[in-house]
Amino acid sequence: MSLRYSVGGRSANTAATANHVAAALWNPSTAFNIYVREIWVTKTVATADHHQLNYITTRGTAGSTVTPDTDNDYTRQAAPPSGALLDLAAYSVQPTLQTPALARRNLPATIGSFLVFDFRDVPIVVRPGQGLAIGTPVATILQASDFTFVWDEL
Amino acid sequence: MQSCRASIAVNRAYTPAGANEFFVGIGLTGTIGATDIPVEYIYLRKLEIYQNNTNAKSLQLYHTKQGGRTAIGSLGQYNFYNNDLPAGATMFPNVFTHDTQLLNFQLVSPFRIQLGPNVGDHAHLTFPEPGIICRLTNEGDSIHHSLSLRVAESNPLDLNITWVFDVVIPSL
Repeated sequence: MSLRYSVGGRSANTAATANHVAAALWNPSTAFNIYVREIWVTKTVATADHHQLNYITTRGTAGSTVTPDTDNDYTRQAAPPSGALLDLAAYSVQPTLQTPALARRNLPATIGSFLVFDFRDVPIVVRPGQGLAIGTPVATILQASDFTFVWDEL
Repeated sequence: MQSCRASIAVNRAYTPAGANEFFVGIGLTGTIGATDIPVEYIYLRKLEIYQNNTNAKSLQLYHTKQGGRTAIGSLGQYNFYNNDLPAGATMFPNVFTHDTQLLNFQLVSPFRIQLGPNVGDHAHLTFPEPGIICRLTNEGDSIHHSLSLRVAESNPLDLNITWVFDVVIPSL
């Protein structure tokens, strides 16, 4: 049986620059794939913004990073074998984004408005040295938001 | 035969020339070349549409073929969920806009939906297995086919659209 993990964190605003990343699940492993099942986005600011989902092939330099451990394992047995990391804006060096986007959405100017990117039936495979990122597709700030990534390993 | 999940997203923001205009679609174009993965059909599995202005929209999906259209996005390796296709290979499903009315469409739409007038209003449509088919060509028909959205209203639209589909590939 595979291991199920999730991790959450809050980003800072991105710049008002197209293709800037707000949050990414990065796979630093040299051996293990990760299989993303869901991504949740919740707004903390009453300003409309836009979202796109892309693979990234370099990590960039994140504003902050959350490191999942045993407590992020749904069975609370092991830290992620991949060493997966949640990187959050604002980046000082942007990741390398692969286009065109896998998905695009937008949220209203309402605190608490909510998105779930759902890959429950067919997960997105993130291979070693790659990541999956949510960013802004247009030259508008992706506002400070709460992000949660849910994924499987092994 | 192998089926691979893929998705591609676009934003369409413009004012239609008139009512009932096709404005975005997904389809298979061209002829299969030596470096191409020979995709001959896809199945649409999900369609996600997000409202980004305050004009309510009535939308219908149609099976369409030919007509004026301009490609605005082509699948690459990183549009496939298994991210394991040969680098540099050209994929066939294209998301494209329509710069004129399509020449031909089937008269019965698989669905019609009403999208609300608030930024962030959305529709998530799911089509259980196998999904809605779109072929490169139909039997006895050399014209390229597509699945296309038509909007009833002629006022400005601004929509974010994600097409999620299974690509059927003979071998990899």
